[in-house]
Amino acid sequence: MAIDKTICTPLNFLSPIEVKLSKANTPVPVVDGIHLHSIYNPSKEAVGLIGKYEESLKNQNKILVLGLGFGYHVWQLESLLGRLQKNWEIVVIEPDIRMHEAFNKHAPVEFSNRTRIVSANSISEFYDDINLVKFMAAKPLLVPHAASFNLREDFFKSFMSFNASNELSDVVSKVHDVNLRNYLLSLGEPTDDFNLAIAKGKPGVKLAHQDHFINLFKELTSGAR
Amino acid sequence: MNRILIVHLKRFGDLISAGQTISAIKAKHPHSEVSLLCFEEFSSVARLIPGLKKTYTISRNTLLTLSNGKLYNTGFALEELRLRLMPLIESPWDKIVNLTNDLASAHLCSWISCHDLNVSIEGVCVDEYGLAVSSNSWASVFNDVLPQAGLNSPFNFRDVWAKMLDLSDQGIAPLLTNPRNEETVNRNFQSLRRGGIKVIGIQATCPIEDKGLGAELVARLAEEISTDGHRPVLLIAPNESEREFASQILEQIEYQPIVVESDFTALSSVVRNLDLLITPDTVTKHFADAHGTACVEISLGSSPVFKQATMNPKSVLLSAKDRDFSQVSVDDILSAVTFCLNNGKTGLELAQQATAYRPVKIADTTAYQVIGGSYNQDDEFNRHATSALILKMNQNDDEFVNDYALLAIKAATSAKSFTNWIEQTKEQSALTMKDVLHAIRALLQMSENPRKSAEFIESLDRLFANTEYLLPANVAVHFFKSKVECLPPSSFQQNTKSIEELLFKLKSDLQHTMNLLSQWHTLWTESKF
Repeated sequence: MAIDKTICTPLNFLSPIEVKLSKANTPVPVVDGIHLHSIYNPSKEAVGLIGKYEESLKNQNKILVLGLGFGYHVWQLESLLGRLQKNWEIVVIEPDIRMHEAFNKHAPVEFSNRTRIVSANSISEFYDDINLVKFMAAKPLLVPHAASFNLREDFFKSFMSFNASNELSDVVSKVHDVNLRNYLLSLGEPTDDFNLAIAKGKPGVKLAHQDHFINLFKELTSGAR
Repeated sequence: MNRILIVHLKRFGDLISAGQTISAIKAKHPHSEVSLLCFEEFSSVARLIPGLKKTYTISRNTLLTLSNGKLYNTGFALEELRLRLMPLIESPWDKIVNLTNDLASAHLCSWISCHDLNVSIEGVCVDEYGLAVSSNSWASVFNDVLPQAGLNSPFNFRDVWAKMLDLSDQGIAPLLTNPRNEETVNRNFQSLRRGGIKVIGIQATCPIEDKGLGAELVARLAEEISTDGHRPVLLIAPNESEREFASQILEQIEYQPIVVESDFTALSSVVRNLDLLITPDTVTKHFADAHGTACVEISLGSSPVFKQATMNPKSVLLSAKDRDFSQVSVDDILSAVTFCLNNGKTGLELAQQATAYRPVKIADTTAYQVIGGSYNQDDEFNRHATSALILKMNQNDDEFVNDYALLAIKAATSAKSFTNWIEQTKEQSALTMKDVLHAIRALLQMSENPRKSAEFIESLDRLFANTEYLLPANVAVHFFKSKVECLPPSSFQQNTKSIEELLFKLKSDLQHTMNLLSQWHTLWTESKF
């Protein structure tokens, strides 16, 4: 299956990010006239937003937050997790790198080192990040920040429905071992489907260590797409 | 110093059972370093296995998510597996023991051995032609024969591991416990035991639905045990659904049993300190066997019964018609409890739909002797005869044939049923022998005229059609098939010669079957039934 090129398109958000002060004297980002946090009291608003996840957070210690804004909700999430979990980890997905920069500049809240903000230039670049991929593979609890999500709805929908390329060359690009890479590339054309290529194998050739490794992989992941 | 890697890619219960085999390996090779490779998802019980140098893990869930999830590039899954396995080829091994009978573990063992030609593999691996190769005939029993046995397995798989690895005496090797848990559980249970009262654990739940007992039955069981003057203790895992199940049980009874919530580490101490365990769950049963705690194992639903049943001679295995838990009554379980608590000195009264078995030791293996209830006699005869034949065919050992015959004879309710079974099995064996002779003739004709290969292939197909089930009349064919399927590609002459040898071995093994049936018939006649 060919990769959808739109996912490689650079994320280019043009509308300026304004910063206003809330009644509580804390900064609030505003994009296209949309306030990403309460203009009255962002911290209080965050308590309400995050409070509804309390039950779920008792059983989940990995959280994927969709949208950074100025991070009041993330800060509240950290506070709640600190009470409910011994170990926890938060990853915040923010498509607009400028928002990330504005957050760093105004620093309305400070995150613990267990929270990581991830921005990238394209959707596929997000999924090139092995740490993010492993975090997502652990099936974290999804916490969308409604204002940020609505503002970048197209991005977040594309992000969550991403379809990774299964072409042999794309799969091989993630393999670090040169011998394994060469072996895999010898199984077919670069544009061949990876699963079909390994299913076909190398007929008539005696099995060597790379064949055993790939057969082991096939057996452990049987039912793969 | 021997460095041994145990490969075990199965679930919790089997892994606890493997712990017993690992202890036996350590006992046989006291100066060896034994490490384990298992799935990360089940590694929490690996911590309880004594004497392990190191535990390596593969995260099956991560692999499945990264390879099946559309979001992720499959290359990440390959990298995940590669990085997990790299330490295995960086360590030198003298021996790899494969305790799993699947292609994944077989390829894994072969992959490691490709990096170190000096390593030997016990169990199954895959050769350069892609054929599964068993290290010895008992490995073949484990990989090719037991999977065909269905519910009437002739051996417990742990016994087959022991035979495969030539471990003569497995004994009991307790799992590790946490000293703090041990002290707390021991003190609390001792306080319950005053005046000869026994502490009886009831595994309240079972992760597989069709194997569970149901809240109503557990509630009644707890109440009856307390009425009998003993202390029932409900065992649950530390999660909301099991707490909910326990509260459903407590709502139904006046007597409130103690509920013990424990993770696997704490469960090790709990089971060790019980006087008896009642369990439908194989994982908890394996804990009991490891600690030598007697148990009433209720084997229902999809459990492969004798293949993984309790091996403790102090325990009772309770099964039911159609493997349906509604066929096992509280009275049946209580009768088995009383039987166990009295060390088998009292009788066992069961309703017509339940069956009780007791593990007995024959030839360093565990046989299951029917001790009460209703059962299919042919199943009993077939199981014991198959066990005796496999021992005979694999280690030329007929010292124990009479012991198995005795178990079969004890299961017979009439002279007619036993002699009928012997006649029927003789007839089946004769038909199989006819197919073997036909295959030998077709092979000889083919060696003279290669164009007659179609007739030979047809004769092999006819033989292999005899391996749908595992029965005394076809057990030899199972071994034959397993060996034929492992023959490496070779010249026509060499292949013909190899198959000819295997066919004559099959003929000889079938003769053993005929001899065994005649021997059992004589024993029966002499037993003055």
